Amino acid sequence: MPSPLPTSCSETVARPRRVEFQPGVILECLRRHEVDFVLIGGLAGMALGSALPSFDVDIAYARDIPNLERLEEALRELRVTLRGAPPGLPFQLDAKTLKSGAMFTFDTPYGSLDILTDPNGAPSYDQLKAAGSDLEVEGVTVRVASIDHLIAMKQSTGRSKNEYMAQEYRGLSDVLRAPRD
Amino acid sequence: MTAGQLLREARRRHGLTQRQLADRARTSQAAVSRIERDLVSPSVTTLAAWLDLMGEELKLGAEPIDYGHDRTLNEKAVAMSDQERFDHAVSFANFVLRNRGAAQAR
Repeated sequence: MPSPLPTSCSETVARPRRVEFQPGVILECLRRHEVDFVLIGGLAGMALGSALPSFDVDIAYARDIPNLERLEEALRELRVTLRGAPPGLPFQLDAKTLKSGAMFTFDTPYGSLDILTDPNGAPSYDQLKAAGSDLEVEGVTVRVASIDHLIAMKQSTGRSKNEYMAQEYRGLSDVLRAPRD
Repeated sequence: MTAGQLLREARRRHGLTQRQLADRARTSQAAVSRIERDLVSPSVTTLAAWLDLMGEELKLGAEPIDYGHDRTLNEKAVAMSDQERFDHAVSFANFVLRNRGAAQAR
């Protein structure tokens, strides 16, 4: 049985040695702070029906300053740390830093969180968001990238793992578009 | 198969040299050679015309590729509600995370 989700991402929990992946907490926190974002990556694929597992949350986000400020607040509440960085490496988490970077990879007590401004293979953020669809998970509405944009992003990296996922997404696309009874 | 391989095989089937095919196509032997070596990609129209000069018809087709993924798993997931699908994804991910390295540890 998965452990029950905390009622909020600010709930004090000791960081376990092995992090239980709880993407719902991350997504709920981002939505509660009204961050303008689109779910991309493997979790987006699973949300649409992929059978391939994903172990992190990847999002693309709007880069206007008010949104970056909301994102900053959410990231603080999620107690993010830079993934793979030496302990104690200074990192100024603010809108200005977020504005200057294209991609940040974080650890949280709920699993990994990657935030990207211009994901490889994706169109502009506005187009990515417009083509996506809303899914209801954990009591919140999450915008998920379209299967076609997920395929484009997976194919653009040139990594064999992503090509494998893109192949499955092509089949999933047929399933999603097949007439339903 | 590449366009160059297709052209070369057809030409050889008909016992033609590159020069002889070039003469029919009113082009140079070097142009035929470049296509056959895949240094240049011909248009579909050119390829069809050159094959026609040898009495062959270019037939194009497309069919689904079997990558080996099980679509029934996708169909099952798509039939779930958003929340059910999300819970399944998270549960599956955590199952894998919990058991990573278990096989090597034995």
